[in-house]
Amino acid sequence: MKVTPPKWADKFLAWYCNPELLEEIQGDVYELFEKRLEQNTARAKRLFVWDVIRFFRWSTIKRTTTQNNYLNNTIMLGNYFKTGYRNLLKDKVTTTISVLGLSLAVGCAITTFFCIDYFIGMDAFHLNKERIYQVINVVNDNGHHQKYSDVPITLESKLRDIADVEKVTRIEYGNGNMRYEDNVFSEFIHFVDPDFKEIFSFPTKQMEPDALSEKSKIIISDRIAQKYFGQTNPIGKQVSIKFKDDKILAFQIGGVLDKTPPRHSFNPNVIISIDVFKELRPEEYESLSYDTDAIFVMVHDGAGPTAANDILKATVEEQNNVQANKKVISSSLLSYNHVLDINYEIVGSIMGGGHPAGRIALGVTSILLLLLACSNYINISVSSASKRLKEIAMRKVLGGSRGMIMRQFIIENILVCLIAVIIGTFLSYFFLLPGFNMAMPVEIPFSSYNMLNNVLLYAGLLIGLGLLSGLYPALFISKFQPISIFRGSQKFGRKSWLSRILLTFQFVIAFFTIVGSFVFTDASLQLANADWGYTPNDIISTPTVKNSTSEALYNKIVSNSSVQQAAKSFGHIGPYNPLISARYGETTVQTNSYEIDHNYVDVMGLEILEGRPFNEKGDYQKIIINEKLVRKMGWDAPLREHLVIDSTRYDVIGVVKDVVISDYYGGMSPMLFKPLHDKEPNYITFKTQENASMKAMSDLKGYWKELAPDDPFDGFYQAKIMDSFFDENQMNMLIISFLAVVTLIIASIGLYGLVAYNISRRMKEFSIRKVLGANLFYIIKLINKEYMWLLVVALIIGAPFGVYMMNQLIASVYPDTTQMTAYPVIVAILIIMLSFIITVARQVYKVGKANPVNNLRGD
Amino acid sequence: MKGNHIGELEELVLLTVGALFEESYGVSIMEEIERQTGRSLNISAVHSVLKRLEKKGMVKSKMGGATAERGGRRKRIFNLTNLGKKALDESMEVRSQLYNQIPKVSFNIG
Repeated sequence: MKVTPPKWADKFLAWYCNPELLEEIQGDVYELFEKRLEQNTARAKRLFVWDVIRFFRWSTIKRTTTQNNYLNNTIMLGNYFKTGYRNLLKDKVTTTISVLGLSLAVGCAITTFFCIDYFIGMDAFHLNKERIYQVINVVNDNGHHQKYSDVPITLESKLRDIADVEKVTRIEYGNGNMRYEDNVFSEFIHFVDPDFKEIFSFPTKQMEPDALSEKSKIIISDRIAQKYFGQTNPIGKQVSIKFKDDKILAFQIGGVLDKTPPRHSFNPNVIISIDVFKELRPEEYESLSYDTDAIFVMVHDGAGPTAANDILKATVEEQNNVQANKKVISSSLLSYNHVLDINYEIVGSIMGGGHPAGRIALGVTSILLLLLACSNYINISVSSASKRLKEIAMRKVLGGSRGMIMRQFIIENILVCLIAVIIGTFLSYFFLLPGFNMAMPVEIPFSSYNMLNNVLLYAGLLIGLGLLSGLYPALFISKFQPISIFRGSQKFGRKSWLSRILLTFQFVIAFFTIVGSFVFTDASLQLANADWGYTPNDIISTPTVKNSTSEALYNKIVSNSSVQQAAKSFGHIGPYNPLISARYGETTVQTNSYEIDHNYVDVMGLEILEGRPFNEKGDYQKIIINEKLVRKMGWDAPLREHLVIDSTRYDVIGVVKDVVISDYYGGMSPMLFKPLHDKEPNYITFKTQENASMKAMSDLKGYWKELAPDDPFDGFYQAKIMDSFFDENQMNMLIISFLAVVTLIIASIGLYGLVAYNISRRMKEFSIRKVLGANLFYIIKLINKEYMWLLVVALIIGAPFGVYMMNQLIASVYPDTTQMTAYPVIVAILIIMLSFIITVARQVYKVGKANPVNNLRGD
Repeated sequence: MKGNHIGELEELVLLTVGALFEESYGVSIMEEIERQTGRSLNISAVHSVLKRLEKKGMVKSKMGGATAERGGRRKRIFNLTNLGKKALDESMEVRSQLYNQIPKVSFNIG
């Protein structure tokens, strides 16, 4: 057997070597190889490789030819654009289809990009974001590890002693009725440490240096300033705030925040020094067991969280000693960005953001859309290349290399992509993003928070799209041998496996998104019509103010003729859901807790499944719990069980049906109801006669003005408490359905393009068949045969996949929803089939109408 | 005077090209040098020297016949040009001139 030199080395030589020098060099190394072979084969091979590598030097590397090519190229570049442009115009249907599909997909992609970018770039305006950390506790919630934003208020002093830590702020929520002259509103208050100003970079309009550090100087947002002071300068103005326990304190406006940038996840409205909180509630401020809502830390430049984490670790045991009912597993600093990412996992997180499932779904769908449009384009351009076969062959015969032809096709392709990107940008800027913004509570700007992202998006779209959709057609077309084209034996397109795979892929995506969106819509509709666990209609509720006012108000409400029944409670389902922990044996459970009078169950229409409601005397140390709590405790006979709350034993006397609080995210909450005894109620809830709720509401307003003129009226219809959830739900439905429609359109026009092309190519065949007596039905069968089984395959792959994925998504967002039904899947499939039939039918009709004579004349 | 100056290796290769006459191509030059002087060169070095010489106009080349042992590839045969010959002559002359100027005594001291 003849020994040959190592193939790869030989190829490598041929690849890099200047073709003019290749022959002599190759000849020499071969000759040497042959000579050395007589002595030692392995050594000869080694030396061959060595020679080849030694030849890899500047003087032998290919240059001269590329230089020529390059010159040629720059001259041709203009021509490529010109021919590309002419070709696009020549084939208007194909071009329109390609550009339309691509533009739609690009428009969606740009919009989605900015939406996702908006959420990712959340709070990017905080200059020190990279140095900000939040203290997060991981708590054992019945074996389930749960992250908590609430951490002991006393941790602050420990954190301040750490050398790496530059600044610390606690954030404690509070409420108060703020008053300036005649304006009285209930405001949400952030009690913070003075460092707050330096840690977070909220833009300010005006700021006195001692704001916050001076106890009486508070900071308000621009919105609040408008609300109370209108156009006048609020700085130095005196306001009074009435806190719980009727304590009224006077404050001076020391600073006004400017409009926060649109990308913020939390923006406080009224900021007061935490010293005021200390004054209001000294026991809690000092208490080792009191948890504040959040603690943020800013470390020194270059320092990390390690030192603080060590200290926090040491406090875990201490925390557990003080708080017997909450077992802390770990306590550590999480970076701001990380907290934003996992925000939805953190109980009581002060930052916004929400569940990422929607964003992921959005991102995935728009990438699918882009792929869809690309595969459309690939299919169409490969098919339509047949019209240009002669052009390609001619170029090759005249000395065009494969590379040149590829370049031509890719440039044409980038031209198409450029047009698509421009149209897509317009679509997104004028329709999609404004539409999205109108429907969402946020205002997403048509730009990234980071300039580089804008550039990357467009560069990525142009290059990625251009290469993705253009590379294969270019490779495929440039491969043809001129001789076989001229001879007429070049076959392609008809049985191309790639075009089939792409088409199947498109249909799979179409089935996937459409079935998915139907399943999602179905689930959302089910939620919209789901039982709340009580009937919110005709229920009105109002928070009360302290002391005699609430009793007087209750009496007035009860005596009103349009009121059926009224109840008092501390805590109220929907707007005020205090969380407590209860124990049973060794297990601790976190549950919402409401203290209610004997009417509450009736007024709210809570459904008692087992046991009984509270009686009028007020059952001492008895509780009613909901199904979710029963499930959580795993009780078989809940009426025989009990829970320990604050070392008092409460026996279960009733079980109520699960009740939705304000949304379906995260599923139902466990609830328990205790009798309201000596505690002051903070809500009055009443049920009105049918159709009398409007009148009852205005009466209630009247009573309020009379009894509590100093406090804002916050009464509300119970039926409205889920509004924000339903708005969001409806929005999700809208967006997902929109994307599904776009998918369907793109898939349909792809199919249209392909069928149109195939029919026009086979027009003569059909005409001959018609002349020879084939009927229309037979021809329809001929046309559809090619696509029918692709559709079936796509259906089998796409539909179950869509159902599965969407169910996963739904289950992760709404754990307690009912099971899906078969009907959304069936409807989705019917819709897809119908739109495909319509797509094809138009063209089949064209074939049927066409006079064979016109097609056959001239041959 | 860059064009006329030749280095030591260039001179060696130039001499070999002249000596081998019609049979001077990459491998044969390399082997001849090795045989005559015991210096083993890499073929790529020979090629680059030859290319340099050709650029200076001291050798000219043409493609020769193909042989089987080269996998059917032709050789590039190099020939001395007049300029090359002149350069060699000059260099030899300089050498012998200098050599002849060495006084006899110096040998005795050595």
